[in-house]
This record gives sequence, C-alpha cells and structure tokens, in this order.
Amino acid sequence: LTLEVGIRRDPHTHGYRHDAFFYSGMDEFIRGTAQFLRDGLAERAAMLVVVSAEKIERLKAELGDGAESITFRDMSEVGKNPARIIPVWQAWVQEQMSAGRPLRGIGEPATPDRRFDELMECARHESFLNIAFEGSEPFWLLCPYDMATLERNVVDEARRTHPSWIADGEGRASDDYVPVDTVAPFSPPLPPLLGSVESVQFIDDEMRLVRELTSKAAQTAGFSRDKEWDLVLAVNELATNSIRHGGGVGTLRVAVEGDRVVCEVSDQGHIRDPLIGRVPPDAAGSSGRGLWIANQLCDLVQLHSTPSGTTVRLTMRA
Amino acid sequence: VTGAVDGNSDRLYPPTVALAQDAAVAEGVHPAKHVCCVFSSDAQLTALSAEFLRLGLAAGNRLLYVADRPDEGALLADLADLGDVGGLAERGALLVQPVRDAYTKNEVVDPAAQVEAYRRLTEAAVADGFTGLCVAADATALVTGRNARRAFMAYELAVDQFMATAPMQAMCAYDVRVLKRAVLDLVCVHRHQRVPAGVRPGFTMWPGHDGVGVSGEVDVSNAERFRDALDAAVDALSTTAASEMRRRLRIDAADLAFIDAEGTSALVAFSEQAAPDGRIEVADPPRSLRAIVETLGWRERLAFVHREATA
Repeated sequence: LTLEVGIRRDPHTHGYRHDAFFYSGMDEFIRGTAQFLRDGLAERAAMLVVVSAEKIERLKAELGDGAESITFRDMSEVGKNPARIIPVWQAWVQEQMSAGRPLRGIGEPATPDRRFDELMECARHESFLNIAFEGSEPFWLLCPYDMATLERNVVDEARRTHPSWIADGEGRASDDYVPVDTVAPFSPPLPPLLGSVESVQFIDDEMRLVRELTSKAAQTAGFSRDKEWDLVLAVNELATNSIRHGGGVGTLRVAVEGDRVVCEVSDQGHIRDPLIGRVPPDAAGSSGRGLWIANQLCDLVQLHSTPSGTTVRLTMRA
Repeated sequence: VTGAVDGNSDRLYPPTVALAQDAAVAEGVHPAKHVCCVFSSDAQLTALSAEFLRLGLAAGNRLLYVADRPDEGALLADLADLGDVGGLAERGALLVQPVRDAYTKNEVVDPAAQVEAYRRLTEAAVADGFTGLCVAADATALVTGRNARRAFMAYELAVDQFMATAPMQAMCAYDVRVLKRAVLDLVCVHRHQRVPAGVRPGFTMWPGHDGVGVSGEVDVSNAERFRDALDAAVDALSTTAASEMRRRLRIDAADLAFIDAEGTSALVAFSEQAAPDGRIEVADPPRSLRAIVETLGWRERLAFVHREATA
C-alpha cells in the first residue's frame, strides 16, 4: 500500500488530510485499515477508529497488542445521525492536541444498511469534514467505502467529497473533488415529503400547537414516552428558531410512515454556516442551539436553505 | 411545594380555587391564601373584593381594602355589598387605604420593606383579637412600568412565602385594561388565579422554603417572563429569613410539563446568581429539561433529584 503517491495534501506539512479508501469485502478492508493503523503505531500517532462493532472486533484480532493504544467507537452508536460524527472527531482532536502526536482516524459512515436519505447526509458529512479541520494539527482521516456492497452512486459521491482517495494500494488526488460551497452549503433541495401530511402554521404563542401535532404523530407511530418528548423538544426548538431568526412565523408539516415520523419546519430564515448544529453551541449564546439539539436527539436531520427560506426535516423512528 | 412550611396549602387550596368554601371558612380558615384576580371593569373589582373580604370577615379576620381611589369614602363605597361598612370601620374590623398610601412612596416597591409592613399589620390584627388579616388590593397603579413590575413580582413571591405561615390572606387584583399583556407578569407569580379565559401566563411560579416551584409550560412565548420571574425569585429569596440557613437551592419541577432551551438557560443563569455553589437541584424535571441539560452539557449546573428522596 503506497499511500503517499500523488497525494495533494500531506498531513505532516498541511495539517489535515482526508482520504476515501475504496475496498471490496471484509478481507481487503482489514488489510488496508490494519496497515494504516500499523503505520500510525510506528509514528506513535494517536488513533481513533469509528466503524461497525463487527469491524472493530476483526481489527482488534488482527492488530493484537497494537490495538490497545487505539480508541475504537461503534459507528452505530456515534453516528446513527451522521451530523453527530464531526463533534466526536472534534472533541477527540481537541483532547489530543496538547500531546503533540500526529493524529490518525478511520471513519466509515457510509454502509449499505443505511437508507438513501441517510447516505445523502453521510455524503454531506464527508463534504463538511473538509472544512471542519482546516488548519488543525497533523490529522489524517481515512474513510473506507465498500465497493462490493455500496451502490455505484455512493462510491462516485465519495470521489466528489474527498480531495484524495486510495484504491488497489495506491493513493491519488481526486479529479472529481468538489469543495464545500461555503456560500450556499444547503442549496440542494430535499426529496418530496411522502405519505399523508398534516401541517400547522405558527407564531410565537402557538408553540403548544406545534408540540401537540408532533406528539400526536409520535403516538401514532408507537414511540416510547421518552422518544416522543425528545422529538417534541427538537421540533419545538426548530420552531423557536423560526420565531427568533426566521421571520417570526413558521410552518410545521408532519408525516407518519409506519414507525417513522418525519417533521419539517419551514420559515423565511437563511442558514449559511455549513457547520451549524455540528459544533457545540456557545454556552452564552443561543446560536445553533436548536439544530445542535435536533442533531443530538433525532435519527436524521436534513437541511435545505436558500435566500428565500429554510426547511429543516427531522426523522425519528420508534 | 415540598417541606413543612406550606405543605398544607396544597390540600386546602387546589389550583382551581373556588372562593366560596363554607367548610374551610367555618374552621376559621380563609379558603384562598394568595389569589390573583384579573379584572376589566370597576364593578368586577368591587364584586371580587367584596366576595373575598366577606370570606375573611366570616373567618374572623381584620379586613384591609386597598385600591386606586381618591379617599376613604370612595373606598368604603366600593364595599357597600359587605353591609354596614361604616360600623366595621368604626370597630377596626375594616381598614381602607388609597393604593398610593399603602405601598411605597417611591416608584418601585421594596419587597422586604413591604413584607415587613404586612407582618406588622398582621401582628396588630392578632393583637387586637382578630384571627388574622385579609387583604384585597388593586395594585395596578404600582406596576405599570417594567422595572416596577419586576420589583413587584419579587414582592409577590416574598409575601406569598410570608403568608404560607402567617395568618394573612390576600387577593391581588390587576386591571387588564391598563396592563394589557403585561398583566401576565403578575399572574404567573400567584399559584391561585381567577382570570378570564385567554389570560394564560403559561407557567406559574411560587416560593418554597429552599427555592421555587414551577408548573405549566415554558417556551418562546413566555421565556422572557420566566427569566423575569426567576430574577424576582432571586430578590425574594434574599429577603426571607430562611436565606441565611439555606444550604441548597431547589426548583420543584414536578408539575412543569415542558421547558425549552431558552427557559433552561434562564435556570442556569438563576443557578449562577442565587445558588450558594452555583448549582441548583431540580426535583422531578420534565423529559425536555433532562434532554436539554444532557445535550448542552449543563449537568454541572442543574442536578436532578427525586422529590420523595429529598423532601
């Protein structure tokens, strides 16, 4: 595996490097990632690996004693909602910074068990990773993609969201790479909301209507009490954003599909900060608080924003 | 509210208080300790006041009527429904006072001084052979400005705490024609409310011996009022004798159905200002409060407890 060939950004000189790693099947996954980690051990790097529980077990077995100095986290716990992954990396990088060691990470958010809308958010997450660690300490992040099981378009998208990629033991700069559109990061529209939709328009003293409609949908979908209230809180906070930052009025649309509830809050606001809701909100200010809470509580958060308005779509499953 | 101080009040005065509770009156107890009435006509004010004072009279209380009237004659005329008001006044069973004389001469009420004044009046009533003091007061004129209103919220919480153990009861009347939406700032600091439909502060706050209790819902419609009420609670707590002995500060949230992130940040600010160690206990918080504290990392500031375990 000659990873240094043709790579645009070397973490030792540029601070941060973000590669896709295209593999086929478990054996190639283990061979590639284990070597990446062994190289890291050789340079005394601090390492965090966020992949499935099964892959964690296989890697630990492969690396033996070497695995002891590596931190492993289960992607299904950390990144069910892909928007929760960047804060985990950021907290870890922050923690490691003082030690002055190089950093290596492996993160595999895109797996074939994900639904289409989740994979879209995985791609957005991968894209935003390119700006989340701009100017950070030496940090090399490797994102495996299984070409044997993932849809072709998911793999193609990974070439657009990673400045460089590795396949068949060789690394190269990606000709398809598209940097984050920092002017309009949320301009792509959302797919249509399916199923029967109930909606309510609200102003500041009608939050109770917002909570009641959400609550009713959660009950229809068979949510536990705690989950019901988590969704109610998330929707309430987004509706509060509509009051505070979105022109003082908003619309809530709610759809139930089996055991899944989709809630969509729309208003006249415009969101330009790509990392909103992915960095912990400042204790003093309220900026980004609603989206942070929604990201932490919901299974999926999708955002569409243009100068003519913002729609935030939350998905939660019983 | 937890603890011995006002543990009885829940039993005697359910939140939807019906004023005419003959059984309670027969025991010499006024059925509504501290109730807020919102009125929209002079006739309504005098009817509510007469009704409230009549219960006090039946319970053997000395009566005090305070309203925005030019002189005592006009005040006595308001209470004609009570019967021989001249006779009552003559034997000291009924005191009347124009509102501007009864409270502070300043624009802004001093909560501690005002509670002290009522303490003296209550003690005097008992010394003169009455079972206590029953007050009906229209304080609208004192709360038209925002600062004055905030000071009055603190006074309402402090006097509620005093009344919990003293033989004093009060009806606080506010004129919605004058105060408009701001009347909610006063309503929310009374646990017992007689208000027209549509006058909903969303939440209610009351004092306890080691903090405050909150019921209802806090969201973007009333988060600012909630912040004001907590500021008032900081002032009210500092005026009560118990503050010197208080080792911890607690919010009774068992009847709080929902609170949003703005409301929760007001609780965090409250913990910074009022708690001896910058940390408050929250008893029986709603799920939303737990989720906010968990996701925003505010566990250091708000500690969750069960009321049963710590009462």
